[in-house]
Amino acid sequence: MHIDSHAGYLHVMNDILSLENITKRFDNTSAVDGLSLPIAEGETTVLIGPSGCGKSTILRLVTGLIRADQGRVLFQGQPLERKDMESFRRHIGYVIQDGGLFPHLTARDNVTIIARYLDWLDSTMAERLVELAELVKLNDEILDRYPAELSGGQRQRVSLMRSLMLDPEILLLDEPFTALDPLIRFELQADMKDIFRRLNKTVLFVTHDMNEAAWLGDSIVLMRDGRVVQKGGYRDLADRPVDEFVRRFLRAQRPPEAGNGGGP
Amino acid sequence: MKRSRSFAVLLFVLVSACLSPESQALTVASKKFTEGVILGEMARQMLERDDMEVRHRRELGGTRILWSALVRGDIDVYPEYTGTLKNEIFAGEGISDMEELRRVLEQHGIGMTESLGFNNTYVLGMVWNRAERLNITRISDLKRYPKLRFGLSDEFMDREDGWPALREHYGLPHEGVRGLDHDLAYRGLAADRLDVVDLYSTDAEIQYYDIRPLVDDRDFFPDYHAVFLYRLEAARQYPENFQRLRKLEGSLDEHHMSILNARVKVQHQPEGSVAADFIWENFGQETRVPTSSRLDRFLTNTVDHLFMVAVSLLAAVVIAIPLGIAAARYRRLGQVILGGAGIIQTIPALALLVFMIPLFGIGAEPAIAALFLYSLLPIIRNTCSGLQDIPASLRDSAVVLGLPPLARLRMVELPLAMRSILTGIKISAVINIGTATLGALIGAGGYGQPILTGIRLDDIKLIMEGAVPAAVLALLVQGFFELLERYMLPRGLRLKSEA
Repeated sequence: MHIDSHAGYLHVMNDILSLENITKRFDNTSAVDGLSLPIAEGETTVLIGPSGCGKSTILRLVTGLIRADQGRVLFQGQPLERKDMESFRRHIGYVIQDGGLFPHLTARDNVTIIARYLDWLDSTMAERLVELAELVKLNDEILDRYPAELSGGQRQRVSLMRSLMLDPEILLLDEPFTALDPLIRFELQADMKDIFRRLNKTVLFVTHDMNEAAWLGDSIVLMRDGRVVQKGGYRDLADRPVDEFVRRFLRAQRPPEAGNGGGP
Repeated sequence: MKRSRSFAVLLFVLVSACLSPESQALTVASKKFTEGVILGEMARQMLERDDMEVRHRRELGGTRILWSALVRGDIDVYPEYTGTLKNEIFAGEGISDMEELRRVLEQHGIGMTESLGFNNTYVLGMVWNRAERLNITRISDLKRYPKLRFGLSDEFMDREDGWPALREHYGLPHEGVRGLDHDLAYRGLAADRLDVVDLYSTDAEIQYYDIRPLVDDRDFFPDYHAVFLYRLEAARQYPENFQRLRKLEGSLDEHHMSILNARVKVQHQPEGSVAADFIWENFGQETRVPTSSRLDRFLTNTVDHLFMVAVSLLAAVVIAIPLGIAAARYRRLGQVILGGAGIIQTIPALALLVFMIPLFGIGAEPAIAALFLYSLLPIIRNTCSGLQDIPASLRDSAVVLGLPPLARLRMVELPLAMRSILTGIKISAVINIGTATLGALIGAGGYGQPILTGIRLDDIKLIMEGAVPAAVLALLVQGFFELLERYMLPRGLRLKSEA
C-alpha cells in the first residue's frame, strides 16, 4: 500500500498514518496486541468491533494521550516522538462521544480556542468560523450558546467545527453519534459523510455500529481482542468473511442493503 | 499577566506593612488582665514627655509573648511579677533571691525595677466582719476554728503548691474542702455559705465583697512582687524618662492596688484615668490620657482587622493556588503539600501565633503570618480537587487540541476549577476573619481587642463591640464572594449547575 508520494500525478493512495506492530497493555491485559495498520490518505477508515476490542485505544495512541508499550506510529512516514506530539496535534482533529466541549466557553469560543491561543487575527478567525458554520449547518445565533444550551446533535456539530478549525489533515472520531437519538443520528451521519467527501480528509472513525461503518467507511477494519481480524470494504467482509467471527458479527448487525461507500 | 499584577499589589502591601512608621520611641506593653493594664498605663504616663509619645500595647496574650517581645526589642517596658519570672520564665534555674534574678535578667539585656510595693500572690480571705468577730487575722488563726467552710478555686485545689501543701504547712484541720469556680466562691462568700476562699492579694473583689486577706504568717506562698522589666538599652537611651518610671517603686501596697483594680473592674473607670489619678495624687504630676470614642475605636479596630485579613488572605491566594496546581499535577508532591498544610491546620491558633513571635515580633506581622498559614489549606485543597474533578474527556480534548500545558491551565482547567477555588478562598476568608480576633493577643489589634477587654472586665457590651462586627464582616465577605462567583464564574458553568 505504501506508494511514494513523490510519484507525482497519479492519484496517490499514500499512507498518511501508519501504526507498526503496536502493543498496549492495561493492567496486564492487552488492549492492542502487535497491531499494524496503515491508514490511507483521503479515505475514511472505520474501526469496528465489540467493546474492549481496542478500537478506541488506537485513537488514543494516535493522539498521544497514551503511549504504546511497543511499536510506533508514523505520520507521513516519520515516527512520532513525544516531543513532536504538540505540533502533530495541530494536524489532527478529535471528536469524542459527548463532544468534549468546554462548558465554560460558548460554542464560538470552543471552536476558536486553539486559534486564539495561536493569536490569529480576529478577521481570519471570523472568516474561518463562517466557513465552518456553513459546513456543519449551524447558524450564528447557536454559536453564542453554551454547551449546556445545545442539543446533542448541535454539540457534535460544534465539536466537529472545533476539530476542523486548523484545517487538519486527519480527523479522529470516537463514536461521535453513539449518544444521539436515531433521527438526529441519521441526519448527522448523512451530513458527516458529505463533509468528509467535500473536505477530502483522512478520517479514522471508531464505532460499534456496522450500519454506520458501512455507510461511512471506505475501508472497514474489524477488530477483536486487540488485533485486526479483517480489513476491506463492506462487501469484502460481507461476501468473503475470513472466519466465523466476522460472519457472526455482520449477521448480528445486518444493515439495510449497504454498499461500500455508495450514496444514500 | 493578571497574576503578576496581583503579586505586585501584594508586594506593595507587604512592604508598606513592614515600613509602617513606628513614631513612638518607647513602647510599653501589658498582659491581658486589669492590674497589668493599669500598671502598663502608669508606666506609659510616667515615661511620656510632652515631646515624646509612648505607646501602650495593651492586653497581650501572656508571659511568653511579652517576654520574647521584650528580649527582641519590640517593646521596652512591661509589668511582671517576680514569682512568674522565677517559676515560668526561668523555671528550673533555681533562682533564689532578687539579686540573682537581676543578674540573670541582665544577661538577657533586661533590667528590673525594685518592687512597686505590693506582693500579688495567693492569699486566703474571709468576710471582714466575720474575721473580726472570730479575731482571725493570720492563716494560723484558722486552726482554732476547724468547722470553717472552705471554698477554694479548682486551680488552687489542684496545684501541688496549692491546698494540699498549704494544709500540710500550717497543719490545718479542715475537712470537706470544696473546689469550685472563682466567681462562685465569691458569691458563696457573700451568701454566707462559705467562710474562707482563696484569692489574689490585689483582687478587686477584696473591695467589692469587703474581704480581709489573712496574713501568710509562716511564709507559705511564694513572692509575686510587681516590678517593671525594661530593656537596659532603652534605659540608657532615655535615662531621664526611666528615672521617672522608678518613682513608682514602692509606691503601691496590696490594699491600694486592689482599690485601683476595683475602680476599673467594679466602677468601670478607664485604666488610663485610674492610673493618671494615682500619679496625680502621689506625685503631683499631670499626665495625658488619650481618650477615644466608641466610633474611633470601631474604626481603628476595623482598619486593623481588615488589614490583617486582607494581607494574609491575599498572600495565601497567591501562594496556595500554585501549590494546589502542583498538588493536582504531581501526586506525590501533592501528598507532601496537602500533608504539610494539614499539619499547620492542626496547630492551635494561639500556639501558631506564639510561634510567629520569634520570627516577626509582636503586632500585625506575626498575626498576618499565622493567618496566612491558616488560610493555605482550604485554598490548596479546593484548587487541587477542583482541577482533579475536571472530567477526563475535557482534559483530553484540551490536550488533543494541541494546547500546551500552561495554556490548558489558563484557558481550560483553571476556569473549570474556578467554582471550587473560589469556595476555598471563601472558606479561608471566613475562618481568617474569626481567627484574626486572636491577633489582639499578640498586639495586632482588630476586633479581638474589645473582645479581650470585654472578657477581662466582664463587660458584655464591650465583647459585642468586637464580636458583632467580626460576625457581620464574615457575612459581608461571604456575600462578597458569592457576588464574585456570580461575576467571575462563566455563565456556561452556572447553566451546568442549574441543569
